[in-house]
Amino acid sequence: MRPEASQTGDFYMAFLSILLEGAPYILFGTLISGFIHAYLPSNLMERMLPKSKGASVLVAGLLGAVLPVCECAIVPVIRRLVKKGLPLGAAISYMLSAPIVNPVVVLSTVSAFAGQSAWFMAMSRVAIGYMVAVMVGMVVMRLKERTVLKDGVMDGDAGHDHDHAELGGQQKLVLAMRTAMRDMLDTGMYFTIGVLITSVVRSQFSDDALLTLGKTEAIAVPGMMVFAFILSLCSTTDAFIVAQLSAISGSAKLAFLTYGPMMDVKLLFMYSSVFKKRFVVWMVFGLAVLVGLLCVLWGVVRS
Amino acid sequence: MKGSRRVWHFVGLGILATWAVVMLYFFASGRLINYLDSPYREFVLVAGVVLLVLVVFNAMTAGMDIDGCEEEGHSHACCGGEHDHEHDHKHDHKHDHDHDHQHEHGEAEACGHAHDSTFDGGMVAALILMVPLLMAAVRTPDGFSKSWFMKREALAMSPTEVPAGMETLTAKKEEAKAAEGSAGGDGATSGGYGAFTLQDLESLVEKSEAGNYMLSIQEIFYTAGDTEIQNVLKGLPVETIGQVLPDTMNDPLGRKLKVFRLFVQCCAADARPLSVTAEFPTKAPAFKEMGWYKVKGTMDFIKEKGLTAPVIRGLELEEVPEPEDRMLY
Repeated sequence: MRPEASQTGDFYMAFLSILLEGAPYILFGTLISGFIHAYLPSNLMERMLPKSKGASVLVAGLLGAVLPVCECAIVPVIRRLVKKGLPLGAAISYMLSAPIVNPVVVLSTVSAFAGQSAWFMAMSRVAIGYMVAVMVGMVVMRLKERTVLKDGVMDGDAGHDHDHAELGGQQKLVLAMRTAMRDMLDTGMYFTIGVLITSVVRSQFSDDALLTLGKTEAIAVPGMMVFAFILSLCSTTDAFIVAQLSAISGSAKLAFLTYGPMMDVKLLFMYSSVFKKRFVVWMVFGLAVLVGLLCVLWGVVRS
Repeated sequence: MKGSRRVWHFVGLGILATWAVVMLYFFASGRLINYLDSPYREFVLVAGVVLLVLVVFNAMTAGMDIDGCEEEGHSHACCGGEHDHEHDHKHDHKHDHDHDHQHEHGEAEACGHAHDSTFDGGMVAALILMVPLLMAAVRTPDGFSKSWFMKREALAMSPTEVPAGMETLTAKKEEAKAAEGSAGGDGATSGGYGAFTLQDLESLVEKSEAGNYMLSIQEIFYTAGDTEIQNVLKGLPVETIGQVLPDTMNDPLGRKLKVFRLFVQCCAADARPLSVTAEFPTKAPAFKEMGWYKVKGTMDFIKEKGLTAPVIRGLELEEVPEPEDRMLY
């Protein structure tokens, strides 16, 4: 017999719905990561991207438009791409921008803001998301991998993966599947922790309490970023939640739409499977400052 | 794959198999409709199947060595953990002796890295991956409580927010107009569809045996933005089905109820109320909070804070079975 609805039941509902929604994307990402690990030649990244690190960051920031991956799937993919030689700065740029420059996200933003300068809002989101992703990528480009990546992420010959050329076809397939399994378990654990926390917040706290942050003029932009961080919504649907909030300013809405896909509770933990804790914390605040400043500037220019 | 690594491999497989079973159970039982919209539900089905394939494949190939670094009878490579072994060796300080000792092999030994490690998160990771999922799967009520409704009121749907694909009377009206226009062969002319009439409403909306216009909550809710439909609908007998809560904010006398559905954009965690007021001439009949009821009454529209709001002047409240699709997508 089904339990009665209750506040604890609300937690289970929220937990299951977010987990079941995100799990297929994580599985998709880890399958890709497994095949990248087993099959992708190590020097392919070097051949595909511009030689210049700066140019590779700029190009990588746009990759999400042609290789759309959602924020749940991107983390295991990025880990394997870095091991295959994708420069770290480019990897970060792609990771942060992919959930925003994603064509599905652009179209859903347009749909959500129908009647409210929809295309302008959608393109503003893409532009600010891209700029922030590239800026962070440019900074990370100058850092050593060992200060950014967790120990063990880059284990292997000279810190990079090799081609596994010595493995036969069957062995490569086994390698791919075992890697996918490993990444699924690893990423899944961090994802579960993030979903647990999000579900606790959603079931225990009122939206009104969180929205108050966004309604207070002086702290609207950071307030809405906090709201986005806690809600942990998918970038394909977050626009529908915020579009209708008439009491929230345009720049605060834009901050919600740009910060959320780059950093939220579940991503915080998923990033921790790849990056060092100090770097993740830096990203939390660094992204908030960059997104906040650009959105405030956008609001000033627009008015 | 040897020793403890093999054990953890099968622990990992067990975890993934559990995830797959939960996904497939929720899909097959139909309970997933309370959590996710389509096509996310179908994604869960595919993911469950793919996950099972991954589990079976990795179980059947558990014995396959892909490391290529194994020495006959003993492996130094790909250990990733502590082990004991006995051998002669020279130390820097000059003496030779046999002794047992323990040392750790990192993964960067011999071949540079291990190919066969699939789960090294340990017991804590296993518990994190299993316990919350199993507890939620067993104890979830498949529906939200009043507490959830109250907490989400700040993000309640507004009549100006019409999600794509939402069934509204306005949408039906526009479709009918377009069909009428193309049937007339001349597109938009003054002799075309004309104003919305009672006859038009009757062609779009079914009536019950008692003569009430059967409208969904969302159809009533979104009439707030269409004066043409309001003019026709006002004063007509209607009935609708939804969950019910007292409207204590606006009515201390207990005459008003909120009749609502929870609208889901993506997954149940973003469920927000879409509600309509039902007002009874005297105290509302007894009801169970969050229960499902058919509300019968007369359609009316009032001005609230400068906005038009639909109100059902309630005459009857009838308990109905909980529908299979509790959420509105």
